[in-house]
Amino acid sequence: MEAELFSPYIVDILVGEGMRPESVLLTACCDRSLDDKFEDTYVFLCIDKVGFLTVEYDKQVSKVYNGFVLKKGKKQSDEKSNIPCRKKRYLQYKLSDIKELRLVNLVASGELFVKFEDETKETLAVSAYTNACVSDLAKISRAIDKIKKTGTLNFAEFKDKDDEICCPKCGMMYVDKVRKVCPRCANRKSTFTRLLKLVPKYKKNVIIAAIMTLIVSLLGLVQPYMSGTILFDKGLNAESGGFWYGKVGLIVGIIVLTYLLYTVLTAILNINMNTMAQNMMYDLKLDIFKSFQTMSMGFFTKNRIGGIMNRINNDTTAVARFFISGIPFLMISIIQFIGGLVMLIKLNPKVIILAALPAFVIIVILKATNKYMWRLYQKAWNIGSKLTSSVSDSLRGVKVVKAFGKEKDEISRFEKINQKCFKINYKLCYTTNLLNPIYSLVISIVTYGIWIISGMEIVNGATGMSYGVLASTLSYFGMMLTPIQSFSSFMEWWRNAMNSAQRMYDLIDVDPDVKESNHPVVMDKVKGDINIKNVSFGYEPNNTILKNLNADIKAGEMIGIVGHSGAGKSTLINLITRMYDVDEGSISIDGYDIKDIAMRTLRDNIALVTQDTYIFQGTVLENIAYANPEAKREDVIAAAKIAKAHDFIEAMPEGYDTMVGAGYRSMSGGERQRISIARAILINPRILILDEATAALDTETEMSIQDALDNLTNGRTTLAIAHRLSTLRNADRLIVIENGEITEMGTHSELVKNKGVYYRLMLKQAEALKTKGV
Amino acid sequence: MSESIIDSVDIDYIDPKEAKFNITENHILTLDLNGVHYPCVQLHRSFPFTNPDQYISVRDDDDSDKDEVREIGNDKKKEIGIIRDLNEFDAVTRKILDKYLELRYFAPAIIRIISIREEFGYRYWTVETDKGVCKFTTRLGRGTVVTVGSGDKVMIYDVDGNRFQIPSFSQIESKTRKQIEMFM
Repeated sequence: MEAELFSPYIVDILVGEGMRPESVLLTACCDRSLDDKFEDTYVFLCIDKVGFLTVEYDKQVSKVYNGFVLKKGKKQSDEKSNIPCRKKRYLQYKLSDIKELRLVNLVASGELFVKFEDETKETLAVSAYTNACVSDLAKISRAIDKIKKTGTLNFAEFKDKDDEICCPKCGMMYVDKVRKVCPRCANRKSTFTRLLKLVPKYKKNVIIAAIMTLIVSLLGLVQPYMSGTILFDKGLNAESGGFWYGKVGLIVGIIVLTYLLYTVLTAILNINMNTMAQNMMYDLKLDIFKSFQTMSMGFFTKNRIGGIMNRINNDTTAVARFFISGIPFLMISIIQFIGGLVMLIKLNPKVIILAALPAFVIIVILKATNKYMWRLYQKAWNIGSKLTSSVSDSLRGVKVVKAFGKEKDEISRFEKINQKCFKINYKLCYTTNLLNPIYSLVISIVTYGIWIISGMEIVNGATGMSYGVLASTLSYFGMMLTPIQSFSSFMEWWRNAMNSAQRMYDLIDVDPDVKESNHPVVMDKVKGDINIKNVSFGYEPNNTILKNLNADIKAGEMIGIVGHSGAGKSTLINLITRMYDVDEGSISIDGYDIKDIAMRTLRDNIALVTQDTYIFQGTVLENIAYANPEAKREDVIAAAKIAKAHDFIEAMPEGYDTMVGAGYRSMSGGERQRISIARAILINPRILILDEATAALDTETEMSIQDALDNLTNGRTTLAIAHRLSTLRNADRLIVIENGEITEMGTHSELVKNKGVYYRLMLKQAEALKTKGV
Repeated sequence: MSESIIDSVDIDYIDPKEAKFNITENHILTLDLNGVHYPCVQLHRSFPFTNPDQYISVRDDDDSDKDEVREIGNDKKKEIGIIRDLNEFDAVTRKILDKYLELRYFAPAIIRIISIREEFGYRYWTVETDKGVCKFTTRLGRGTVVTVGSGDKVMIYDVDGNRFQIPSFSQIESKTRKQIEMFM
């Protein structure tokens, strides 16, 4: 299969160098030179050779990093393919001559080395690259490894996973490969439209709100007319009064009634909007929390938990606030602005020209200060959040602060941020308070202008002008200008809400890395055979942690996993429990690939006991029965007994109903560990995984827990990781992992006889214990 | 007062007179120290922002000893020693070391902002840097534009972790400064 060759100019150069383009299997590109410039070096892999072509473009091109949105459907490689380029350097090596293509991590970038089979030949640094190039280069490096070992390349394994890094709808590269949200498609279906789609769910509230808003706005329009034109010009004027003349009581009564109705309806509107906002917040929070639960481990390791929690709290509040305050404000403002304008045209059209003046001044000031104000708001927001995190940081670390006697330093650290916060907020207040009087001043000047002009008209007896018309005019005039003046606050709500909504949708839209198969295999109880076949995996594309692992574990067998820190032991566990999916190869249980087995089946049959035990806020009972809340009381007690937790639970005054977890009764490390073992026992798993389950405990506690564990492992497939080799004394077989590879496998005595890594580790530990006098 | 625990640790400082750094034709940084030849070494700044020229850890990139049993927690790249101060080296060596460090700590220096567009959770930057015009994307929110070191240096991290720097924030043109200030 032919790989993408970047451009016809490059094909020409390759042909000139004697490389047939159709023989190229994989390509990649390094985007930096070794002398610190941007420069493209293309890497071409054929079945028997590898070529490196460094080019110079005829035209200067800007460097476009991953995720930057170019014109529709365009990648930078497309843009570059139209620019003629010349060869700067071409290197070609037979695969039989090179030992490996090595990617060396630099800071946020890397350097590409060629290591030769001939050890007298010096390693060659080919070029450097930014993070964007890593995954393609790593693929070529792995492929070279494969070809050298097997002589062939299974192309399917190295197929470009374009569908995973690009939006399936428009083909644009995702800004963030983990979150897989396409900004263009998100853009097309704009955030606001998505928010509006929530509305039908609250149909009743929306209908009430729309009716109330309309009535409230109309009542707002009626009031000035009643208190101006009707009261002064009709009620008090015998000539033009007609029906209304002399009925001051009725007129004032209507005004008071209108006002009362206005107040009551506004209250109903507010209660209604609040109810809707609370419901909306509830639903949004639930949606976000639900999406957290479907995400794979990779998401949580790459995102700050604090930031994620903020989204649940602050972002939903910002969106809700926009619905409570922003939308009704906008609707009322629009109706009142149009209504005010219509009434002014009807009553006193000349005033419109005068009204245009303050409107113009306000718009000019708003426009001039908008950027500045926006910057101030942004700064205030930033410093506010810094202040919050500084407080929470200090409180969380209070034990360390006190232990080192650094209270005063903490105070001065806080003071510095607080000072900044004060200054920015003062500036914000100061500017707002300076601008508001200016608006008021302009409005007042024009209002007095209206007074003078209309007053003179009344004195001169101009037609259509009267006290009542003047009073109504002034009210409608204010009604028209207020929305313009408050428009900046509306924009503020709008910006905050849209940013928050976008952040929320980013989370809701995340496509989890580890997904359930479309037709999952559901099994009630698995037998427990585990087969690991050619498994390779890395958390980052250029950093393979596990390399080509193979192991066959029989049901009921206890396997000890041994190796140095960072060898890949816990990574293997992460793969078996499907916290992550393998990059290459497969893991199967009872003959089924775990990717095809239902998540429920996996979780019901595999139990994990780790070093970091987590106790949830709740009773001891709830903590033990976490995975199986329906469990019978007898079963819970039995599980606790096997885990040797029963006695200390009984010693607590409230027994199994004792509240534990943050803020309640604290537990020792051994107690927590025993609870987590009981938790594992209760689901009666066929496969048990112990990841350093006793590493954090002292020897005596460890020994008593070891007994509990022995009870637990009996008859189950068990994988146990332990640094202390003595804890693996019951293992049927041991697997030694070194630098991501299985280097030894066998029984304790076989490995001792072998005198390999396991043997050396054992000797070292025995030595260490001797020197410590244990 | 008893001897401090710190004094009991020996830091292997590299003696500039004994060390000979070289960049080979194949662009590999080598070191000859006390009669030992290291065919491929890496330099790590211990304090890249606060003391970029001091305390440079020199590490052996040779992985031939990977089958040996390593002490728990040891890095694959063994430390050969620490350069106390780059200024202790002669001009030629200094140039070699600087060149390597520039390669390792690659971060185009922003001269001015051409445009910034914010859209749906991301900020799209077009900037002029000492390495030419760059277009990159950062997330909105904290942690993407941060002041480091003494506070006058600003680092910007894009969605892929690529780094851009403003070596002296107070010296940059005021329009760019005002724009960036909002994101800090």
